[in-house]
Amino acid sequence: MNSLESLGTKERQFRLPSEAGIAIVFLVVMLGGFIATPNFLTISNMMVLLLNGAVIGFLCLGQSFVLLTGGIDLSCGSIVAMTCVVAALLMQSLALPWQLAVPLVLVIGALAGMVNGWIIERTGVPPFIVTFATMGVAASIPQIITGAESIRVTQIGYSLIGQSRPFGIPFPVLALLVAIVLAALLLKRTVTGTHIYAVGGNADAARLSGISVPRVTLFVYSVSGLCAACGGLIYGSRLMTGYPTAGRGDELFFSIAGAVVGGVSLFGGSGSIVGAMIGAMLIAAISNLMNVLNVSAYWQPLVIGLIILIGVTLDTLRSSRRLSFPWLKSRRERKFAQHDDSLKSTS
Amino acid sequence: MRNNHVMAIGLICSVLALGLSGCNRESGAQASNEAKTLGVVLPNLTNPYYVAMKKSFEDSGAAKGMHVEVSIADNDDARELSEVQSFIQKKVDAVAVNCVSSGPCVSVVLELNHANIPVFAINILPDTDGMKQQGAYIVQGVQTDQKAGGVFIGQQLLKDLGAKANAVIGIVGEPTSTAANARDDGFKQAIASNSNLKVVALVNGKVEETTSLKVTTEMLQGNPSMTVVYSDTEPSALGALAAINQLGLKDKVKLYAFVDKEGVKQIQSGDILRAGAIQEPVRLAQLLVDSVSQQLAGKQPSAMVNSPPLLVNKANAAEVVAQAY
Repeated sequence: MNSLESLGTKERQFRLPSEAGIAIVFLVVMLGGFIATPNFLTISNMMVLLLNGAVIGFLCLGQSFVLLTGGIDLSCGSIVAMTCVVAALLMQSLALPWQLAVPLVLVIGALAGMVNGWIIERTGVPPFIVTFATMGVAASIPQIITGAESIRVTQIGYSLIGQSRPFGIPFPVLALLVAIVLAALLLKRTVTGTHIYAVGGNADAARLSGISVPRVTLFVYSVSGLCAACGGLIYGSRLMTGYPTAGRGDELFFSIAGAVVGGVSLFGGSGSIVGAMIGAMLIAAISNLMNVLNVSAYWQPLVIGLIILIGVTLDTLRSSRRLSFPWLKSRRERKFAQHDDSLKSTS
Repeated sequence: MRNNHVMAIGLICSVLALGLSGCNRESGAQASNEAKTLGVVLPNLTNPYYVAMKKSFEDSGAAKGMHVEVSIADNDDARELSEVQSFIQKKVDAVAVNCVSSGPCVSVVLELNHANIPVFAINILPDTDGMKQQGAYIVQGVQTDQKAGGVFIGQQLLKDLGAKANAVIGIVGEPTSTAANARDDGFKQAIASNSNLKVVALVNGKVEETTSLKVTTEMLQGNPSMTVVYSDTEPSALGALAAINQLGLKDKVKLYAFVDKEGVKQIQSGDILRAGAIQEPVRLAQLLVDSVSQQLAGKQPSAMVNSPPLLVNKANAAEVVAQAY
């Protein structure tokens, strides 16, 4: 206990956030881009980077909630496709005004996520299997409805979501910023946030201490579905088309990779929204940089893979103290300190 | 006791399976007694190209009094093979294969050769060297002359810009596909006559609107002097078009692309997408069904049909849009 107390005192003197490692990798990539080409670190390209990264950002945000409880959501990319098409259908076939269609699509996305949560919670089937199944279902629905044809949206107002630039910043980026702030506050400052970490840390202990695990499960999958619907709306409104292949590319993989690169554990219980967002932006930045630099398409997946591997390896070695930076405190020590703090606060 | 249960269940399952397989054989025999059956394997039905091709196969088959059965391989080579195996079980009279990818497709052809079922290949053909090595053969290959499409677009670009114009060109492509690469080769060959036209970048649009939107914006950011974008696939063309619009470059950057119906409409109404080439899946399927009916009637069709795509520009867009897929 003595050693824990002494660590706690050290923490108060100097506390480097656990996201620092991956943030440094991110900065190195940005700096590398700046040196490599004058066209990378320009305001207009940063806006393009953020805009192109917004959908992955949203998916990564939703995925982080699910990962924090120890689950995984493989259906988010397909929900993007489904909501993208459903939005277009509501506006074109049912002639709903976009102001009504958009909130309706968000609700549909959240409900689709909730179905995942409900099945997982009721049946106890592993999230990987349940969301893998709904991935297929959600991907098929738009294809069945439209016969795989894309649907053009003619309501100009819909383009405001993906194409407007209030204060010179693309709207999806602003929306993502608001979502990040809300999500971070929710996880840090509310009881629900604590419950999410608790369920991810140890579901049995959480249940025994009176936390409603089913409610938390429903909540996180709904958030993931809602975030996927935001992605579907952004894609749909940027292209003014609903088409069934939206979000079926690298999005799912990048959403998981972004969160994990940013320090969210695949086994639940640890990580932060800010970290996950830095991870998502790191991936967005690398993929943007390579196209700005005209890197051959054959090389791009290799480079993305290697940078992620090197970044996460350095961060993990640092955390497990196999690689020591004397000026950085290890994550394990901080974990003990946090544990100590939480013991104090609960007693 | 428990073992007995397991054995009983196993026995019931085997009896059911045998019974069901008996049913299958009967229906297969029935089919061969009536009209001739053509089995068709297509990679997917998410691409409108294959949706149009499927419909054309069914319509042209019906017109020739043929029964057409279409299977979808879900972009998976292994699945394509298993779909073909089920055609063999059904004893169809001929099979038309649209390969998912050329290399693995050779095994699909070989399987049908062993079963003595005539194989026709459409659109994406099996790898020729691979077929030679393994002794596989097809009756006929029907394909779009991809390179000719690229050449048409390149020639139109030269015509639009004038003989001695300067331009920096970027390609939104699909570098892992040989067909798309052939389209690029044709385009580059056509513009080679003017050394002031320079291709400086090739990004991978992955034949998807969203990916293409993303990579085209990035390519244009990285190359501020770019004035022409060439897209070698139809979905990428729409993504590239949105990218040019959303970066506010519509007065500066022009787009040339392989197009589908939506692209043809854009050529007709807009000012960014200047010209394109459109494939004719309906025509390819018609040509193939004609050859199948020749073969079944005992005539030998030609080994290869190269059908050039159609050049679309402002002049003929209104005409083409009605028959576009």
